[in-house]
Amino acid sequence: MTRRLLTFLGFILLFSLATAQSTFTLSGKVRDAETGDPLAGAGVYAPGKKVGAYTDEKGNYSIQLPADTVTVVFTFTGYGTVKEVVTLTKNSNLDVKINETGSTMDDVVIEANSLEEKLNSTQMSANNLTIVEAKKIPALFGEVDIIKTLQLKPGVQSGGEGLSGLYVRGGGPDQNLFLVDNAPVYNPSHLFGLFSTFNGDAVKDVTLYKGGYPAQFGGKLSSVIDIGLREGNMKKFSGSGGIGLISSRLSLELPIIRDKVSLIVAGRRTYFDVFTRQLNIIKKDNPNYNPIPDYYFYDFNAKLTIKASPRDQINASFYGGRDKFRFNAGDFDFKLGWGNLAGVVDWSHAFNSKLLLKVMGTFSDYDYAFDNVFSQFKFKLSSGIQDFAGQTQLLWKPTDRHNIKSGIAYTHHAFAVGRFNASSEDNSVNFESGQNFTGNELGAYINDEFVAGKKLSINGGLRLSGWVGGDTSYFGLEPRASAKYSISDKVSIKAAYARMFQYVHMVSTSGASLPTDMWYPSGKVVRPQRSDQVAGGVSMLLGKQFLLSDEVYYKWMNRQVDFRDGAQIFFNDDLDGEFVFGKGWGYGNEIYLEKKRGPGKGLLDRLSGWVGYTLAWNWRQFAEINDGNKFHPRFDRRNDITVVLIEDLGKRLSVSATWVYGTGNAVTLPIAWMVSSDPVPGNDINIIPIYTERNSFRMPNYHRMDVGMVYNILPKWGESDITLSVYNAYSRRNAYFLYFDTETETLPGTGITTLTGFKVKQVSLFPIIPSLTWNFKF
Amino acid sequence: MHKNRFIVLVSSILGMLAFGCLPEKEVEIEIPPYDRQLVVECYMEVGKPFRLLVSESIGFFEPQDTPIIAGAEVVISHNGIHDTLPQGLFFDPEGLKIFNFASSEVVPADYTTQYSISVKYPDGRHVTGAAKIMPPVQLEPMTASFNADSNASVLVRWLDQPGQQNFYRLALFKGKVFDPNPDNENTQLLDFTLDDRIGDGEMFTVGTLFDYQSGDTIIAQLYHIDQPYWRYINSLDDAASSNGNPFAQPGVIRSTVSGGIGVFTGYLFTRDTLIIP
Repeated sequence: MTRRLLTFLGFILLFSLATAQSTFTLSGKVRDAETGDPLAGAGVYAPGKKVGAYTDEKGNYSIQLPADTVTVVFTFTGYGTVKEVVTLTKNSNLDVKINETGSTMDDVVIEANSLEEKLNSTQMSANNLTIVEAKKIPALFGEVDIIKTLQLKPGVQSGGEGLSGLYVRGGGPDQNLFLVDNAPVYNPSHLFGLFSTFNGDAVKDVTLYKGGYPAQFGGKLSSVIDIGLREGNMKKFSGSGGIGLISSRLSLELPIIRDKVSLIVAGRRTYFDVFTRQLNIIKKDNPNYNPIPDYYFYDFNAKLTIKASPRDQINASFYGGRDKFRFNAGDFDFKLGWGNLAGVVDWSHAFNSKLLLKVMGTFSDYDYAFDNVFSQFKFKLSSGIQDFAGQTQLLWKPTDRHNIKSGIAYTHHAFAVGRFNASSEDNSVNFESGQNFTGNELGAYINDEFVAGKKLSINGGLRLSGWVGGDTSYFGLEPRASAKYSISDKVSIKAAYARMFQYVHMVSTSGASLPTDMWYPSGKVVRPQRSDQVAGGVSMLLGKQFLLSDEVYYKWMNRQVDFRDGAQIFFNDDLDGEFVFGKGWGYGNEIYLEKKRGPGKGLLDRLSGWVGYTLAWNWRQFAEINDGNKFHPRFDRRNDITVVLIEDLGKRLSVSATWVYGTGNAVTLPIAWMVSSDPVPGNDINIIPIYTERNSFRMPNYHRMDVGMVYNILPKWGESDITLSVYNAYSRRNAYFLYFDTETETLPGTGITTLTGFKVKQVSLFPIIPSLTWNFKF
Repeated sequence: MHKNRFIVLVSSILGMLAFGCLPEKEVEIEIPPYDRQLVVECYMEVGKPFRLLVSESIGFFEPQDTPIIAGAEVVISHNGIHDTLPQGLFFDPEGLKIFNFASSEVVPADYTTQYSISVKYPDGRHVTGAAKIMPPVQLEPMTASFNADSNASVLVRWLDQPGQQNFYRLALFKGKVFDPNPDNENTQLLDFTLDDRIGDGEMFTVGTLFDYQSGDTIIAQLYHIDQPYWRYINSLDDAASSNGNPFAQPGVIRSTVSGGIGVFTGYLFTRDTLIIP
């Protein structure tokens, strides 16, 4: 008891000492660097101290900061970001000029997310990436993919070779909330997951939350991927694009009214269908030639930014993307298409430097459809989900110590599940099946980022979520909390807890994430999923260029949804009966060493990147799967190592390398075989593999190195570079899947073949794949 | 069907991306010890003798003996009759099917009696099962339709019995149901299962591609089967197609018998033949 009292008194004393630190006022004016005009509504923020404000109508700002060396960040919509490091020993004045958005300023954004900020941030279990960073890292087929770059962070895994799915801290790919400018995207992948749907030219940055989720986010259990789209240049017409191995892209930025209204449009399309069609034409007379199916994908982004007044800004963003696949052979015509649409209109209004209101409406649609003509019959199988949502958010800084965020959100979901339609030319066949559902998802939250003292900051929030639909309703309270305590100016410890509910479920038709996966609402049978996650960690600055962090976490997931073995997924008007329910849990340790580029010109100074190591366990348990015994999900990975190195070799050249190593995926393999004598004439005696325990085998361990090089051409008209990517540089034959093959021998003189045994074969996917991309910007 | 077709298409895309065939190599894995199980497959076909194939499952890396075993005691019971089936080697020439236990008794057209089976092996393994014989469902006369090139497509129809869950297996053959000459092409055109969830009490129609010419003979066999057998067939298909399919989630075989693996079921298929005009 005495010890507890002393601890408590010590804490109070510490708190008092912390709050007794002297503070000074930093004030000044923010101006347009080109015109000198004052910028009203510009953000002024000291990330390490959790203090910030907006400039008034005359561009003036004033913030209270402790006596310390502090990084202050200045931002303004459509402009770049300026970072200033100030040492405060008295009340001080700092005037700042901000340039228009440009590549140079984008680079600054990366640097702005400094190691010191990460050390002092209350937010833990989060990773931020800018597109500039992603562009320096080698990519499969040269397609810059910010989502795949996230897979290189600790605690994040891919579903398989080359795939863009994310498996975060033991969660499935359906448990990630992808937001594009706050609009959800349900299937963020092209080409069966090989590429993400996000065009690098349209994306500004992405933040991944693996835990410690801020209260404004809800609806998915395992992660939030918050993707910000770029705003158009407010000053001049500009553009960028590139020509790559499999696709080309172009983005244009247009100041419709200088300094008031800008528009950015960006598009991308693949073109291997152009070549395969020609090949099919050339070889059409060859009877042994199997035509290659037509396939392409495209995506399109647009964002309109309107500065309606010094206090008001309106953004309208749109995303559309689609994959199209077609195979036509005589009277068999098979078409498969899937795609997303998402749109956002948001208005933000600054009442004053302490109060900001955001109102937004979003729309999202995902659908897939098989469209099949078979002789005189037509079949169509489709599924989809459509959202209309509205939300408001209030940001309030009553004092320099509090940053309060509150809001309400409403989403109307409409689901089409397994819609099947069949008809024939003579109308002898005409029927349809499938289910339509609607549901309403609600959320209300409040969150306070509270600076309790120089050493302690707390981020506490509460979210109330709910679901009304399917003749039932559910409500959930989701507490969120994280805290940071600075042991010294080089070391901080952090802890976080978060509860999440998920009311919309993805039901997978396979073990992998495919476009045919369906979204399904909560109802009387399928209840909302729930997760609880605790995390703790320590961050440590090593010199000025290294940050070492270590996080441990434990996550519990209830009411997990899966299909029972042999479930009838299609042509079924009562899918509720095909589900089984269970639980999942995972725990692990993530170690992350990050290196930022230094100011000098030495090799070490020019080096940036990170090394990550994750040790983790993931489990699932369902009463009706695996005889009720717990099992590892396929993506369970005991050891995971990533190394990312980027070396800037001057203005013209940068080189990079990544190396990944991971324990092989957990897979189900047969352990025995039997013969089956089918009664239908013409069916031979078959050898049937017998599977027992789920995912009790491991694929061989995975490792791969990619290397890249960016050579800047430096033309007079803008910027241009040649990017070389070499995927799987040492051509490691990683296992894509394993299978059992029979060994046979033919009895001499009889022609009779007998079974002598079995062997296991490993199939690999990608060997070494070099690619060149030409990029430009004007 | 859709899933499998989709997997093929996905594989072709991935293969195309990899600029050719996917490379493969032999690897070694360790598998745990496996206890062999009795495998019993008994299809009671009205008008044919009671007969079955008894075998056992074998671990992949065990010595590969023949799976067909001898020495079991097989009893099929119905209406107070306990028929012990003698062991031997029996062939059904229609389809070249092989059995190692067969009775001299013929399966009657009795669709209400419960039949049971017991297969005991001297080492203590004991497989049991029970089933009724499913009544046949009549096929409508098949018809043909022609495209502009005078190629024919065949339509097979039958009327589903309303108010009950029905499961079907349909097989189509060209020329004859079975050709014993191994050098000739397999005569089977189609073989698949379906159920009446999407059209209870409706006329079911199955059509072929425009692949046939005037004078071709097309034979349809419709099996009205019970749900446990339907589950068993589909679980066998899933297990077989999961080997070598990276997108599949393999499942266990859903037997209709207990104490081992296998199926005990009964039916009377109906047949219709069309000579394309």
